[in-house]
Amino acid sequence: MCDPMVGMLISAGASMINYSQQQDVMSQQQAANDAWVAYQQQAQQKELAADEAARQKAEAARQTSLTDVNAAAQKQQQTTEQARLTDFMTPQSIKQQGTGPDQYPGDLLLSGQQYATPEVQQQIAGQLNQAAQDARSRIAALATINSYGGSQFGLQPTVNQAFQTSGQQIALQGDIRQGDLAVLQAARNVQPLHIVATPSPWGGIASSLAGAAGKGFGGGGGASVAASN
Amino acid sequence: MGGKSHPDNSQMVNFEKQQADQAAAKEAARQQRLNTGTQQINDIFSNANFNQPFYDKYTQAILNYQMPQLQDQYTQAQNKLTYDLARAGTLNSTAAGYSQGLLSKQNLQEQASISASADQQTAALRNQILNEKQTAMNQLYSTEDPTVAANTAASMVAQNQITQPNLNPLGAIFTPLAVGGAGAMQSSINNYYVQKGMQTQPPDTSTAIYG
Repeated sequence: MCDPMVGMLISAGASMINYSQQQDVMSQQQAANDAWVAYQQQAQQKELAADEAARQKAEAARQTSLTDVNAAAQKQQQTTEQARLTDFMTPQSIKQQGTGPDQYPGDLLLSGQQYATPEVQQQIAGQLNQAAQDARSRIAALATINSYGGSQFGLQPTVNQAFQTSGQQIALQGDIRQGDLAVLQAARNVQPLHIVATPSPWGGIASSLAGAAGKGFGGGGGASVAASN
Repeated sequence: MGGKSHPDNSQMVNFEKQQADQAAAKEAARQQRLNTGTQQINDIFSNANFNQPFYDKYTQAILNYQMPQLQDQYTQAQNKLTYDLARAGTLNSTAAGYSQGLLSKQNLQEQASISASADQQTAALRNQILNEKQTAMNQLYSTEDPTVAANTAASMVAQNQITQPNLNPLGAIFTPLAVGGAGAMQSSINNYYVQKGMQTQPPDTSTAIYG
């Protein structure tokens, strides 16, 4: 014979055990979730910082190229290159030529002309000086043209080099950013910890005891009723 | 009772974390190789190797090849003009000065043209080296192996040594003027014959020949 109170107490105990078990699982799951969120946030922050650092490097390279190819820089480059080309392309015979009106290098005189009359020599000198002047004009024009185009330090190669240099740095940083993004994706693939709640054996035993106690209490009563009948 | 372990997927989670950590380590190593490889390529193609004297040497070699040819032709043209003028009796005349001026101007302009061509060929060499650097960079990104990329860059440096400039011999530059000088002489001879009443050929045939 069992006291009904015993069954009730055992049943309450079983409920308490199950409740405690659920609380424990929920607590562990919450901790696991918090850890997962912290892990993801850390990975995200790390990627964001790395991405920003790489982006700033790429931006710096881009700004440098803009500084190199802006209008003022190109004008300055063209002017400098034009002067260099003019000097480089002008033959030494013209450079060495005197600045006087009838000065000309002696090697331009043909043999025998040194015996010409002063008037003729003057005229020859004038022709040669005019030829030198014409050549200077054409050389200067050619230097100007080439300074815009394909000379060594003309605008075309200079601008190309500026963009290529910045492009290489931007490509490098872009490649690094893609790699960092792939690492972040790998971290995002980490799933949260899932805890499975299983019934406690103590809870099961308590429930069984409570059931047995209740059955004993109910069964004994029936027998006495039958006996009285 | 509380705090006891329950079944979970920790094994899978740990494996995924391990994979993520390995990916991070692998990426860090890859980035290190990229930076190292980039630095190697930049060093190979830097001014320490491809500096101004390197390009100046190339430019000067072109000039040294072509300028003497021009000078030879100019000297021949001068001599021919001298003989033509002397035969025409116009060596010490204003007409001689005019011809000399034309010849001199053509010579100066051809010198400038050769210089400009040498400079442009050097610019093309610079561009070629820039392209080689870009190719080395592209291969670095493809392989992610700085050693291979550096070898590629070094190989390109070696290849660059055998790049040949355009060194075609100069064509006949002063021929028109020299023929013009002969034409002037022929014209003088014709005038002489006309004055003597012994013109040998109509003037138009001489212009056709000597233009």
